[in-house]
Amino acid sequence: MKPRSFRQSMAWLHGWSGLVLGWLLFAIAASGTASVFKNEISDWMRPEVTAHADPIEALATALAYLHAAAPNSPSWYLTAPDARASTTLALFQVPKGVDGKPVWHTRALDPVTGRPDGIRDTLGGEFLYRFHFELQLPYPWGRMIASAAGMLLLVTLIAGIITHKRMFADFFTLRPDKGKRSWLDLHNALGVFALPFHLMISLTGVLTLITLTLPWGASTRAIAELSPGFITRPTTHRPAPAADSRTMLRDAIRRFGNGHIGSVAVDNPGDAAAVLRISRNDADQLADGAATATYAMATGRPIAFYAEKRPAKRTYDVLYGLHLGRFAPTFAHWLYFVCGLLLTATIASGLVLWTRSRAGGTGFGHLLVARLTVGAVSGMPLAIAAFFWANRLLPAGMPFRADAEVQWFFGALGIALIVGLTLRPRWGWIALMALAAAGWSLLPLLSALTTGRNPALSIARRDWIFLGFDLVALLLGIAAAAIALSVTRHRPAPARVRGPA
Amino acid sequence: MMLASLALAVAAMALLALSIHRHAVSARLALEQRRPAAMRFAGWVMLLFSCAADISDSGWRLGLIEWIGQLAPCAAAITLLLTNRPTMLPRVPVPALMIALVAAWW
Repeated sequence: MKPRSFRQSMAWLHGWSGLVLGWLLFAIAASGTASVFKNEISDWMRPEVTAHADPIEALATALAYLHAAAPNSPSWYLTAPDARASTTLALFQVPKGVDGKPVWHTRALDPVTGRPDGIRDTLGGEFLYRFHFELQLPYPWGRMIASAAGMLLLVTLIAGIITHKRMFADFFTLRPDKGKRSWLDLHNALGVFALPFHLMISLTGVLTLITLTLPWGASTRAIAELSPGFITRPTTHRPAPAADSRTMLRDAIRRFGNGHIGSVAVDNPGDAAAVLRISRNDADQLADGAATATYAMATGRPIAFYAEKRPAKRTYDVLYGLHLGRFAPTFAHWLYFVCGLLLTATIASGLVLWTRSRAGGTGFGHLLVARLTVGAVSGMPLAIAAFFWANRLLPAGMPFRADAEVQWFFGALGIALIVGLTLRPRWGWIALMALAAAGWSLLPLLSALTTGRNPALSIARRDWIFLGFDLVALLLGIAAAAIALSVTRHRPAPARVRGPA
Repeated sequence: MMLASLALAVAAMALLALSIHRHAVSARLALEQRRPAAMRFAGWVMLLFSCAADISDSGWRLGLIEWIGQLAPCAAAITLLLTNRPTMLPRVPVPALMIALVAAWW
């Protein structure tokens, strides 16, 4: 074998490291991009909720509801409504599940009444967010695989940068109708335009899961040092009524320097030693989880206040916050979304390029790669659209409704993979992309028909979340239609005939 | 200021693209108008100004993040224009610059 240059080795590495988890990386990138608007998606998926309330009032009524509905839960976890989310999100344990074991429930609570009544049961944007790093697999396997995929993405990016000879000279170059050359141009352009974002998001993504992958990350001491704001007390088994939560919430806001409340946790509710932990909203600062105030729930007395000051942990919090992007105002959210789409498209074009640059391959492996790419790349947009369709079509009172929505997601993904594997790639692309185009572009219509919240009403109510969702759905539908059309129009270049024999 | 920095970045990207010989040819830029060195310099200066606009608007940290983030859609827009309507490209920088000035003045 001829010795290869460093750049050739890097090209080889880029091609293969990109392929190994490429399809999974595409799914992670797509769901991560959607998660930028996690709260907005959740609001869209709970169209019954139109009221807004002050976070203190919303949390106080939610706590009152939990006192009545889940007094035996060992803990309650609440996410406060804010400018981007209108419901209070509650996580609590209910005594008996199907198999007699206690189960954890997530419920969206109305900000005014504090109750879940009348709100359809859905995981909302939380599902896409969880899928992004847990892949719907049991702990810790999903996170382990996501973390490995992130590391592989980082390796692929760096190898890709070294492989790319003319990054600046070819910066604006996109030559259409030149076969493989065009795909390479597209892949390069998508990758280079948002390169700082791609590097940042893959590096910080790996860092968010680092406690899993470092050997000492899961030790008790490491956990204690990572979150010293986490203070709790053992139960006394003596019941005691709770003090007024509004006073504690207001006191926490004052300690946060008039910041916003992000989340609230209660340990051993109803017990004399119950503890109320209030954390500052991530949207207040770049760093994630910056400050926590802890109170004795029965007396309302403050127990501890912790604001992160250690430089190393603060750096980690900033990098973590940079990945989540929750600090960002609307404009920056859109930039995260656009750059996320670019990364998703970079991965997709890379997967297509892998097949294109080995054109003429007829082996089983080559065919498998080509067809898996069709199913995986069209499958994710289809699956997310199916998830939203399920949200609008499934009856409100249906048992296990939230799970059924998730089943629609995986059902669509599975069907797309099967169709991709059975049809020839050209027809697979056309069929699945046409379906995705219909699924996304009809979504605003379906939503208007089933909920009455149509775009005209959104404009009148200055409801930018619904209007924005409808517009993005329409644009994604148009993009899928454009892909389907361009595949239909594409005439593969006639096979070059070698000169007369 | 958000609009100002966006418009500045678009103008800068258009100038940087026109400073590359191959793109100047496809944009049918007249020979006497081709000044690659000056265009490259002006392009980079405008990029810096766009960065400054973001920082003065949103502070160091967020401003830098926004600036780097918005370069991606701006570069994509110029590339699409260059691929589909290359002769429009020379007409981009001046109006974009004017929009930036008006937006900054606002």
